[in-house]
Order: sequence, then C-alpha cells, then structure tokens
Amino acid sequence: MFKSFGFYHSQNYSKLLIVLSMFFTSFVFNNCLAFEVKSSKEIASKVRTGQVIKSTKLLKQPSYQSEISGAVTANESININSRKRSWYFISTNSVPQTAPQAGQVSGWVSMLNVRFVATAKREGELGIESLFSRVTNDSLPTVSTGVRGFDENDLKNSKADLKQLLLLNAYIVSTEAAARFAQQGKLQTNKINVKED
Amino acid sequence: MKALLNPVYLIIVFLCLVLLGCKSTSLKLGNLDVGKLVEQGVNVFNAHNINQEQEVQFGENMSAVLLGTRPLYENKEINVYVNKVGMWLAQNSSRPNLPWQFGVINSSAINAFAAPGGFVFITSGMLMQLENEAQLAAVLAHEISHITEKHHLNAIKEEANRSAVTETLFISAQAYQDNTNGSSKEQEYQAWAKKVTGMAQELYVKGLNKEDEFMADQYGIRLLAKSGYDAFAYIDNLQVIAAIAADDSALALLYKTHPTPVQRLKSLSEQVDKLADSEGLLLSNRFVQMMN
Repeated sequence: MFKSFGFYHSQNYSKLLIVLSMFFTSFVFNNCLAFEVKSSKEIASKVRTGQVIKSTKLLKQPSYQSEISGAVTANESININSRKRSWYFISTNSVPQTAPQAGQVSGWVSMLNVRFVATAKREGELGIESLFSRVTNDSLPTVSTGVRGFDENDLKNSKADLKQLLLLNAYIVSTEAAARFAQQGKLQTNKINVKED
Repeated sequence: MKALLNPVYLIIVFLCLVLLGCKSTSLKLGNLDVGKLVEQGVNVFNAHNINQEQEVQFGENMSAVLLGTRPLYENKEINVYVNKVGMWLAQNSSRPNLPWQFGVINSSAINAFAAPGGFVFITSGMLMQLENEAQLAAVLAHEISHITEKHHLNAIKEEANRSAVTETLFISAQAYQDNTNGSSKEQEYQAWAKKVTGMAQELYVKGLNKEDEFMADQYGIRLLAKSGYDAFAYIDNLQVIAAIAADDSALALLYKTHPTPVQRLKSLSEQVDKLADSEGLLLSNRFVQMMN
C-alpha cells in the first residue's frame, strides 16, 4: 500500500511538476509579453471609446491610397485601439478590446473624424450631466463657477507676486541643457517651416 | 540729397521735432516727468515699437499677476523638466534668443498661459491630463507661438486705442505723485506696473481673439513637428480636452478664452494633411517616469 501510495504519489508529483512548469512558462511568457507591450507604448495607446463624426470608410492601411475594409456610420460606437501618425485603428464594439473579434468591423480612419466619448464630470463636480457619458459636442459650458483651480474672479483680485517670479527664475535651463535633453530623447530638428512662408 | 534740402521738407522736419519736444517735456507734476511716462506708455502699447527689454519687463509684470492667483507647483524636478521641453521648442521657434522661462502653476484648472517676452505657464491640472512628453510639448508650443507672434502685445495695443489708455496712465501717475513718497523713478515704475497689472487681469480674463488662437494652433503643431515630436499629439490633446465634460469648472476659463476644442480641431485639418508623412516621438516613458 505504501508502495502503491508511493507510486501514486510519484505520479501525482510528476503531474504537479508538469502543472508547475506550465504555470512557470505561462508566467514568464506573460511577463515578457507585458514587457513588450510596455516598451512599445510609443505606438500603442490605451483603448478609448468614441464615435465618428460622419459616415466613414475604414481602410486596411493608414493611407488614403489603401483598400477599403469596411465602413462605420455616424454616431456608431467604436473602440479606438491605436494610432499611427494621423490615423486611428478602430473597431466597432462597445466593449473595449485590443484585437478585433469575429463579426467586428475594423480598419483605419483619419483621427480628425473621431471624437472620444465625453467623460463624466470628475469628483467634486456637480451637475445632472455628470450622470451620463456623451460624445462631445460643440457647445460651450454655461456654468463658469470655479470651485478649484482659478477663475476670472481670482484673476481680477490677483496681486502681482514678485517672489514667485524669483522662484520661476530659479528653474531656468540653458540652451545647452535643453539641447542635451533633446539628444538624450533622440529628438531631432526637422526641416519644417513653422510659418510656412 | 537735393530733395532732403528742399525748404518744404525742412519745415516739416522742424515742426515734427518741435511737436516731439513738447510731448516729452511739457507734462510735469512736481518732480515726475509724466510726459515721459505717457510716452513710455504709448511705446509699450504700440507692440511693434517696443524693444525686447521692455517686452520682457511687460511679461514679468503679467506673469507676476498670474502667479499672484496661484503659486508655482512646488516640485523643482517637474518645473525644470517643463523648462527643458519648453526651451528645446523655443530654440526651434522664430525667437530663440528671448529669455524663455516656463513654470507649472499649482492649480487644478486645465489651462496654459503665455506672457510677452518668453513667459509660459501650464497648470498642474493640465499636466495631469497628459500622457506623454509630446502632448506636454504641444501645450507649450501653442503658448510659445502666442509669444513669437506678439499676440498679447497686439491685443493690448488694440485695447489701448479703444480706451485712451494714455489718459488713464496720466491720472494714475498723478495719484501716485500725490500719495506716495517714493522717488520719481520708483513712482513711474509703480504707476506703470499698476497699469500693466490691470491690463493683464483684463486680458487673461477676456482672452485673445479667436484668429490668434487658431494661428497659435497652426504654428504650434508645426513647431511640434519641427522639434522632432509626434505632431499628432497636438490633436490627441484637443480630443482629450474635448472629451472632458464641458461644464467641468476646471475648464471654465479655458472655454471662456478659447474657441471650443472641436472648432480648433476643424481648423487644423489642413495642417494635419500637410504633416501627413511627419514622423516624430511621443517620449511616453520619460514623461511617465518624471510624473511618478
């Protein structure tokens, strides 16, 4: 019995080892993958929900010359999965997903045709509109009372603070320091005319 | 040369000199040369005539008013970081030699400000909305463009033309002369600074005109691209702001003084097409590390 138990035990032990090794492999893989995702953050951004502002064709590539992969209608709910230059890769699904599922329509659209879903007012902000999320419109706010931050009354009553100017002065960086900083970030000046002459 | 010796021309030049002489010497209150003060005021409000030193002094006073509303965010590393991003952008702007200074104002309001002479401010509330360095650079590039194009000085000049500001300067100078014991030079400066304070308050509450804001967007997105950043982070920013509840009080002043983000996005469509092939960096990791 002991032997049979030992045999049985060693069988279980082997199974346990297999499970543990699978778990370990999975753990390592997931962590490596997580690292990959983190390091490619320059390209991928967090998934947002939104709408297109007019019926738009979806493209297979982020280019106007690309083939069409589908279409999305105005006000249809979309996920904005990633961006490449001025193009968003979107999919039609109300639940945020990082990869399109079967039945989903996905493709590239110009980012100017997209609006994010408006967030509810933040904590401390009151108003019936905060109960609903809605897509941004072009209306100006009617409420202008500043409970935090500062508003026009604060500005009108402001007294010039020269001590703060001295503090500001202490944070100045040299042009050389800024150039080194740019170099560290691999930023390079491009041949673009700001005023287009 | 003969034309310059023409008697009619000489008479005109003589009359001009007499008139200029009257303007700077005839207005005196006690020891205070108010004529000079008024003349200085006129020069200040004529944005194209003032020199860089005067412009910076003007900006300092306007900045002091802003900082009188809320102080700087007390974190040297973040303020220096914002200065490095801003200075790099400024070196790629049309006025790299201004004494550029950047600061984070400790306020949950979502906004950014500029003052003549190279002063740029972003609120900590705005900073919290951003995800990467390119988005920070986008905010700063917009404000830098206001300064390179002298939008605030031009706005003050227009306001001065409407409200006979020289007269107001004259009155305030007289009041200082009557009520203070400081030296005349000090009084001149105080009167001038007081007037600038009033104008700064009015300007930051009222905002610039929409055309100037749209222009700062056009130049701002191109400055971002020129400086090596991802130009479309500029669009990201406007879309993020557009998605914040419009009646959130943190946005009240921004909305009061700027076109809506949707209007600004529409006005940028041409630039987005022109910069379609532009590649640039977001520098998310450097930004996140600095903010954590």
